[in-house]
Amino acid sequence: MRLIFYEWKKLWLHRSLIWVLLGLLLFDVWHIRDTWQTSSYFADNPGWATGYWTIYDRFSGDITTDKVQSFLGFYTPYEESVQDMTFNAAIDPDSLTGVNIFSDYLMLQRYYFTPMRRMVTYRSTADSIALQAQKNVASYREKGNTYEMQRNARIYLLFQNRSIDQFFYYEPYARLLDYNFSSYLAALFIVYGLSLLLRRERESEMDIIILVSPRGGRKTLAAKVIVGFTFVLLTVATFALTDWLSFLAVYGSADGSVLPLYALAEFSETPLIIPLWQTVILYLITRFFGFCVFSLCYLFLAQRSKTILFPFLAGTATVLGLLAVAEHTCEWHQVTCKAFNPASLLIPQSLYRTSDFFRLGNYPLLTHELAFLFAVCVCATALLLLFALANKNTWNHNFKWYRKKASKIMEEI
Amino acid sequence: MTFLWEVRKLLISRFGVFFLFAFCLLNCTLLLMTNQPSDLAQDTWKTQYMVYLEQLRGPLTQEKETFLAEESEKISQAKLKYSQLKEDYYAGSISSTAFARESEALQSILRNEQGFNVIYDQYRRIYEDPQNRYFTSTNGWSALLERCDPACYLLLIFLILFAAPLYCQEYQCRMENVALTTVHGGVCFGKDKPRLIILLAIILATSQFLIQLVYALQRYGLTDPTFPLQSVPAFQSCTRSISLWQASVLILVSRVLGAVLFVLLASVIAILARNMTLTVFLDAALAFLPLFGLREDIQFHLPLPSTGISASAFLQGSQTLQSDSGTTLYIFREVSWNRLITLGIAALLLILLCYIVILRKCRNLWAGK
Repeated sequence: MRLIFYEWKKLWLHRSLIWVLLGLLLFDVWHIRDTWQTSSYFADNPGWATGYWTIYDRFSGDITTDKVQSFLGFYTPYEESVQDMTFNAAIDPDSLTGVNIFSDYLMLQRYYFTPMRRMVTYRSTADSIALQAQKNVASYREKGNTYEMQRNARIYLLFQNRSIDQFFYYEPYARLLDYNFSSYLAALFIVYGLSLLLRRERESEMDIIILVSPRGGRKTLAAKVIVGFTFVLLTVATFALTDWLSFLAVYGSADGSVLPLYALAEFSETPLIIPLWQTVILYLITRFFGFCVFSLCYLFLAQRSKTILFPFLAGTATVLGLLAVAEHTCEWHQVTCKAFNPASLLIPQSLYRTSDFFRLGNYPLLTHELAFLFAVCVCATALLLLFALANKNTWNHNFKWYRKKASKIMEEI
Repeated sequence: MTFLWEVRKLLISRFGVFFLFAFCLLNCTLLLMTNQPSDLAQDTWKTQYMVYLEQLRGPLTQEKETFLAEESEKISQAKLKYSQLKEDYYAGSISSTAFARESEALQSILRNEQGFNVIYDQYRRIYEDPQNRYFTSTNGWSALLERCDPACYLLLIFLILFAAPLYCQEYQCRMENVALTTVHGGVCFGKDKPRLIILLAIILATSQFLIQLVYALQRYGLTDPTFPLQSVPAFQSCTRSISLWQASVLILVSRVLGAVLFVLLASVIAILARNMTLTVFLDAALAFLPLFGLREDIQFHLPLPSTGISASAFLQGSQTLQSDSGTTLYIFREVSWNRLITLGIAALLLILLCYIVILRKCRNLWAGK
């Protein structure tokens, strides 16, 4: 326990680590603001934001029939005047967005009408999927196909009773759950931190001395691995929290947190039945797992090689390469491409967007379940290798040997 | 003399030759594995396409337009006739010998139909701006000039591999104190090392470009180097009037400048940080963060080493979008000549500054005392 504490303290004694972390976090926040500027309609037309928030209180909250009716009553005149081409195209400061009726119509359509319609009709879509799955279960049971039966049973369980009962401003979450840049930053930072953790002793050839001390060898290594895990967790949590808070701050609303994940258009086929704020935490855990796989492999490499240069560059190149592959396969439906690539754990939306199944024996596994399983297997192998190939503690070893020899001599005497 | 020692140290004791070889090999593999022809149809129907290209090569003229219209008419007529002929044959109204004779004549017209489709697509693109866009086979030039991110990452990684240990290895074993107090220590640290690493950067950037050039030449062929740059679809909206070979030279120069700037910045980082881990990390951040974190619109208006290496967006034209309120939104703003020259000068000044910093920091302590 004390070893862990010492290693932890030693790691943060490197002042550069803190400066680097601060620098990366600042860049992250700047990048989030840049994302807002390039992707939100509110950034280009400030009038849209004002118009949106003036009527927000009237139509947000629980979706009731009255509210939907009153919204349609509010929206239809705009739509009709646009479709008749009878609206006044001149700039009109009294209109909702301060531009003209057409601009009002576009804003209402993009930010109220389309999402609301999707939310209202989502229930029937999900129900029809569940119903179809239920029918399939019955027919596959007749035919004796257990795998398909189980798969459809899972689909039924996932899609039954899905409905979206509330309407809130969800844009920050839609962007946050699609945001990967912080993964790149965290990857760089973690590689740097882990190199510091392992390399200092190597560079000053202290490792040989540590090996002959009572707690050297595997005990020190175990302490280092544990510190490595906590370091990764801390980093991922810091970046996740920064992302979360800055997205909410930049977009200026946290109302959407209670909406279910499937309320977002990109996630309408997700297997997860949790609200958005829990999804953010789940993203954190997923990224933590992904980084654990990479960190263990990296620790193994760094432990075996002579200088830091090659493991660092090889590690960076591998992470970047795999991340590029993962981004490329993000929209695909092949489960194996995504699940057997540990980098897709770093861009979790690739795992949670679709409900695809992988057949393991006779049991249907969802993409993210398979990915987690694979990650755990790789972690276990890397850990085993790391400890099996670690330098043995010479002190203990010699001590035992001397004790044996001494007892033998004593016996002889 | 010390320069030769440095060369020997870098190339032989630090396996530099092996890395150079590996770099070339990896570049070749990368090209062979990932390169796709940018116009797949042009590559698939190459022989048929060439038949038409030989007649139309060069700028669009009135005669060529008439020829294309006539040819199009001829092919559609032949297609119509052929289907009519087949119907007649299956209905039994003509004999098999008559069918064979007639269809052979029609087939000879239809043989190059796919190639004609490719060139007709090209014609439609050229028609928008006949002054600057010429008929030529574009795949080779696309492969050479268009943006290729993996190659850019590879070059950056190998530059770090060479530049980081150059100074850090000395700092790691505290050799710099010994070296700087010898007679030639200052020369070695302040002049030979930067000279060597600049030379290496030039070699790496040039060899990568040459490999791409040879690949494009062998795989697609690089014809008509004097045609305007806008003939290649990726650069069609560019407003510069430069030819294809000038564009290639520009890209080569930009890459070399970017690579030299990068290694010198890396050396300065190494001298200031005096620590291998921090140096490698900062180098990687300098290389990759701008590429991932900044929009192209910002990236290519700053004198950054990694954008110099990726280079091809310097030649691209503006990409715009119409917003709802009617204003034009820029996705990418073309880098004007003035801006390009300013960037080049800024890069050169940065290189000079880095060199001065290195010289200052690595003064000979022996002579002073």
